[in-house]
Amino acid sequence: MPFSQFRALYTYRQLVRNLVVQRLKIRYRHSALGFLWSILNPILMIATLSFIFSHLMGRYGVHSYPIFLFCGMLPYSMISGSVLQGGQALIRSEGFLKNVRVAPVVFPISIVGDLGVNFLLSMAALMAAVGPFVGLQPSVAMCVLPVSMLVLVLIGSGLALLAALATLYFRDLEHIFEVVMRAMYFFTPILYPLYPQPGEHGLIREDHRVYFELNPFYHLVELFRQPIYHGEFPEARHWYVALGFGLFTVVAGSVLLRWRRNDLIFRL
Amino acid sequence: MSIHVKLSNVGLTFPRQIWQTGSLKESAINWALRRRQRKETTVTALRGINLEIKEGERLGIVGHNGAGKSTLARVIAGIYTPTEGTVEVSGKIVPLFQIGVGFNPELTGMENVQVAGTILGFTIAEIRAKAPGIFRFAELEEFAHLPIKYYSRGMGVRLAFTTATEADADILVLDEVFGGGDITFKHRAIERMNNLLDRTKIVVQVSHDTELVQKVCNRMIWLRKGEIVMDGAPEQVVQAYKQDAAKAVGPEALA
Repeated sequence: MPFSQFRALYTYRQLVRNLVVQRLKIRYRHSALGFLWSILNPILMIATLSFIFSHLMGRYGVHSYPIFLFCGMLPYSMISGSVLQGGQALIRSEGFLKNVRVAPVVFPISIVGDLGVNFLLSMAALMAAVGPFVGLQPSVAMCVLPVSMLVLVLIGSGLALLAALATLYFRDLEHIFEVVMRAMYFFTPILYPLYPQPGEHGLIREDHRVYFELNPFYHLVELFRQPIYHGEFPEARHWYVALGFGLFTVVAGSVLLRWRRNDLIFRL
Repeated sequence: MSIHVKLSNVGLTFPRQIWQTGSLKESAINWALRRRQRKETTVTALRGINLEIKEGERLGIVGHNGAGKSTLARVIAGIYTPTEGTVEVSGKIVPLFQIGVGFNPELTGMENVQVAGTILGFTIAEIRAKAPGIFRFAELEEFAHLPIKYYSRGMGVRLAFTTATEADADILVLDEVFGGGDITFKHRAIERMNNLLDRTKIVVQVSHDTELVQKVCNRMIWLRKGEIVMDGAPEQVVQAYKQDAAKAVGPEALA
């Protein structure tokens, strides 16, 4: 029963809250600029990439490249954070797990919570601070963004659970995840559009596009890009694939965690 | 129902992975070469443990290093699930195994107390109400909002000890550290510990230090190679245990 993990999360909700707040505090403390530093990183990336690729991407019908970029980069960095930091969640919590009674699910989920808050803040800050200068238009379609965010958190949680558990049994996965997530960054249409504007040439070969469609992260990115960049409601297939993938990973992660619940403590 | 703990025929065998953690690379190579996967070695830490602890009992667990004392304490506390037999617990159980579990050096004393408090089962509101008292007792009021990485070791231990002894449990399971070892037992600290023990219905304490366990406990078990070899009044068990130790290593080791 995957519900047992939800029940555990509810039981330990105070601890989850404290752990999330703890991570956020550590992240944003230490400097007067605090939070600013954490959006400086995406801003710098976006500025650099825009400078280099704006002209090229214009040929493929991308007219406001900075907006186009951040719609993809922010969700993706949340996902890769969930896999990479989430993967370490159980190993790093050995002190807790061996000395107090606590459900393991608490640790990967607190990491996703921290990343989620950071995602929201960065998204809001970028839209407010940078948006006006790069021609961001508010649209009705943006009201689906909270739902897109839910799907993002669902996928992040599922992947964090799976990664955390798998890393306990195969320690070298830590390095494999890093390589895979970097490769996926380029395989996912974040820096480039998968489809051209009508009547224009595409960047990706027509017969290759189907492979990109198989990537759930593409559909996830579109849940943000279509409302923010195109000002349109996301197409149904993006919802189906992203939501389906999220549910699948969460259920799989919960079931596996429950299956290994007595054994995992000996693998720390 | 009354507060009690009951272990029936409990055994625990765990995989030995401390020096040989699994790797995907190795598994994949073995599979590709059709080699047999490395067989997992196991260690039996506990076997055939039958133990019933009733309300009012203060149980001490003694035994040599590696006898399974800490493992048994973790089974009672519900941290380890036994591979054989059953554990039945009624009542709220709190383990105190390590001083400062989950303390994060980057966070302030106050923030750490909040996390530690939620681990002990308090709500955030409850622990906020208790925090001033904790800092007063630990004499750290001026340092409450300083990251604990700037604390001296003594200050950190004082804060962790004071927070942990705030616990409100029916059943308390204590390992080594809380028996004394690491803590410089000042008079006030002993009193606080005694208060905690007095309001707790069942206490299980693990220690090398037979003197200390003897003071607190009214029942004692002696564990050897994962089995209970003796269960009875503290004086008798300690005597037998000491005699056995003397036989094994010679009398000078006891001094």
